[in-house]
Amino acid sequence: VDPTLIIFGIRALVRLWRGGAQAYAQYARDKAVLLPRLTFPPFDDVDFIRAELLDPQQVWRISANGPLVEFWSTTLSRPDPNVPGSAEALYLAALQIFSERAARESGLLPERGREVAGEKLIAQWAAGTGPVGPVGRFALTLTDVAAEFVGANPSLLGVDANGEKLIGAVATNLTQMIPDDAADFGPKSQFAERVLGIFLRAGLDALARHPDALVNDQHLQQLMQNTLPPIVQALPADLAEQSAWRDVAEALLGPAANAAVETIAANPRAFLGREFDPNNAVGALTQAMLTQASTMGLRERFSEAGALVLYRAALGVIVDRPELFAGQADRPTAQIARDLLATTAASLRDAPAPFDGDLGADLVAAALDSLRREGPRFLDAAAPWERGVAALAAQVIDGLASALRDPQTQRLRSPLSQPQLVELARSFVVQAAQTPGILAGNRSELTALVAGVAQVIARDQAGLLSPTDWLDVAAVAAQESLANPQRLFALAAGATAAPATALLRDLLALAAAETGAGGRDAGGVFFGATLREAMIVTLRAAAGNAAGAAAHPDVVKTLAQQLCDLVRAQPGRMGSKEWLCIFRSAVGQALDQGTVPELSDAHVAQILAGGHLG
Amino acid sequence: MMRRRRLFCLLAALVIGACTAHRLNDLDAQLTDLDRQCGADEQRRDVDSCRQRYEALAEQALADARGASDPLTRLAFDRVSATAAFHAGPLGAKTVSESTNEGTQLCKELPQQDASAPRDCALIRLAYPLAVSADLARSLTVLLTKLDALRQTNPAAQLPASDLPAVLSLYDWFQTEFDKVSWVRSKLTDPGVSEQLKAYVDDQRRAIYCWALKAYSLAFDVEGTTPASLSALTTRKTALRSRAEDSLGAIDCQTAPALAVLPK
Repeated sequence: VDPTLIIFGIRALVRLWRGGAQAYAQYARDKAVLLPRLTFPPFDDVDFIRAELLDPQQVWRISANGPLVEFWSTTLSRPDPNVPGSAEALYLAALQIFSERAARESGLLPERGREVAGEKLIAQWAAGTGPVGPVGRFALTLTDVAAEFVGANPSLLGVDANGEKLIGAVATNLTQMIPDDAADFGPKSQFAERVLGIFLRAGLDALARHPDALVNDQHLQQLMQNTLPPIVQALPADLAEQSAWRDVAEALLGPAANAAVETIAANPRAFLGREFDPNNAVGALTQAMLTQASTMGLRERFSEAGALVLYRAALGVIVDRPELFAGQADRPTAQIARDLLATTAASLRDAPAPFDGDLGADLVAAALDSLRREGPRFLDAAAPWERGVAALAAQVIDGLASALRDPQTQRLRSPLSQPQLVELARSFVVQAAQTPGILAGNRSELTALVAGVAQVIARDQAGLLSPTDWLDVAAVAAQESLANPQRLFALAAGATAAPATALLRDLLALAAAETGAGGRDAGGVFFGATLREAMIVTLRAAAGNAAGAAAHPDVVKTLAQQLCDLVRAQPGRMGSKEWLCIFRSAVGQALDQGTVPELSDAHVAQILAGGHLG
Repeated sequence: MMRRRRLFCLLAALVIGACTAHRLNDLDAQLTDLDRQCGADEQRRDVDSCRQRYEALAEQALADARGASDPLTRLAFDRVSATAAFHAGPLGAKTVSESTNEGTQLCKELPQQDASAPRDCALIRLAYPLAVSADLARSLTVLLTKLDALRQTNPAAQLPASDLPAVLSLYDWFQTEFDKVSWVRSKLTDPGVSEQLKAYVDDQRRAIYCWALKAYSLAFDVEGTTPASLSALTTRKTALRSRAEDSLGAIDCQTAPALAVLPK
């Protein structure tokens, strides 16, 4: 073997080895290695809350008069364990402070910080393995409902969007929703969660229908504050009563919240700059409605629809006449709302069907609508207005009942259908509400008017007038009677019927006799439109000459009779139009003089030519 | 004859060099194995046994560092020693001190100082304050355990007032160590420093900061304390937060552990 060759071989090997050794050493030094690593401390919510809220710039929140002071235990320097939801409420605040700071440090808008906080919050509460506390449960409810709505109405959320305002209003006041049994997930807490969902769903639904409404988020906050916590707090302790309260809230709160939010959305100006805060009234009214429904039983007197008709009408009063709901020391707003509904329920309790239920509520709602439009001038100034509203409806119902009640069935019998009967009653209510002081001093004027008209209607068993005709007659009767008090329907001493009642009754009797004598087959015209107009003309004429009407009760009937004969005798020359033309011209004079004017051919021709009786 | 002797010497030197690298590699592997066996969750392991094994490894690595001729390899041994000593807890106090002192000195003497071996120099400089912080954390955990025990019988219980000086002292120490680690972090400016190393150091700063906040919070669980009586502490905490968040951004101590980078 050549030694030189061996040496060269060894040198080559060493060269390789050296390179490999150096590479190996570098690999050994630089390879990824285990690093010393500190563990993080167990950092719970209390630590987080202290780190944020005890900060000199934030501590005011939990100091005296601070918004979160009720949740903070000064002795323990931690969330007060005796206040349900305190840890979550404070955690919520701490998280918001932290997230806004984080957003600032990252050059983001504070809104983004809140968004981050919201995401963290929901993530923590939704994915947490432990039991979720009340605020968390409520927040999840909010999230669920909001998510449900945003899918179908994406525009509800976003900067200045109404849906976001409502959710924000609810979220801001979440801690107020926490009842005292929240820590144990007691009945109030469960109820509160349910109520929250119902309210939010209904509110979002209302706002979705008013996408362009300019809703003030402060109003929504106040509405929420004034509505939900009292309803939750009012949950009775007794299990059976709890059940009733739950049923009522389930049935009525949603539509009520819907109506309330819609009212705010549709009337933003009504809720601005008032000395009296209408939001208080809305809350009080909502609670009063639920209480009333719970007390007398849901569907016992009104159905949900009936209760809501009243509620909506009362909301209208709050919007247009908020001063009526302004509470005083001896009569707070809540009591006014309670009295309104309680008085209504009581007055309808003894009313005859169909006014003992929803139709009665419709009538009171009509009275409230009139109150909204006309103001309280028709009421008795000496009595609370809320009683006057029910009294107005009650007087109309009493009038109808006295004339139409069947002694055997105690139900109202008339040619009118139930809706027409309500329409009739409504027309009286509307007219009466335009009459100052109609309810003052225990007046029975309205009842007499309604009874007088109803008595006549009740006699029309043959249907000589259509229901619509009767409504027209009634409207004029109410208009004339209320404009001319103590004339048409005032019962004189010894009289069996008021003048207007007698006049109308006679005309109807004549029409019935005419029909009996052949009616249209015999060329008669005294039915339908002719009869209606004759009654209207008579009412207007008698209103201006009540003395004549009282003194000569038969003259109108005689005049009508003669005209019927005249028209029937000359069917080729005279009809309904001529009948009415002559009647209009002659009835005033007849009432005035107590005799029927001469109806010679010349006179008739003169009248029909546009002249008057001489 | 002369030529053969030179060749022998050369081969011996090469073998020794390779052996040293192999030794370093082996110690690193042992450290990794130990970590795998003992894990981060000390509660579930035989802590004393683990610590003894860490400390034994740390002492071996320190001895090897002292025997190594190549400065960079020596530094790597010091790094292994410091890391193992850190994990050894109280047992490793002396070793971690020696390895970091010697390693720090070595970093200063390197041709490009820390930039010659940025990772190892940084870890060596960090090992001591991290070890101190870990020790402080253990002390604070003792107090937290004590409070938990008190609350087993009375949920509103607080630590006795006599514990307040210890809690306040722990806070101060955490703050000090935070500043030390932050100083090391401020020196990691060389382009050769990996982003991962920077992230790792930042995580350690967050951890120390959170321990400081934990101590701060615990101070309010001591009998007789109020926000007013601890206002000076609150002021220091607020200042610490400013320093921390100026460079780290807002620190959420509840979610920070989950966001920490995995060490390599």
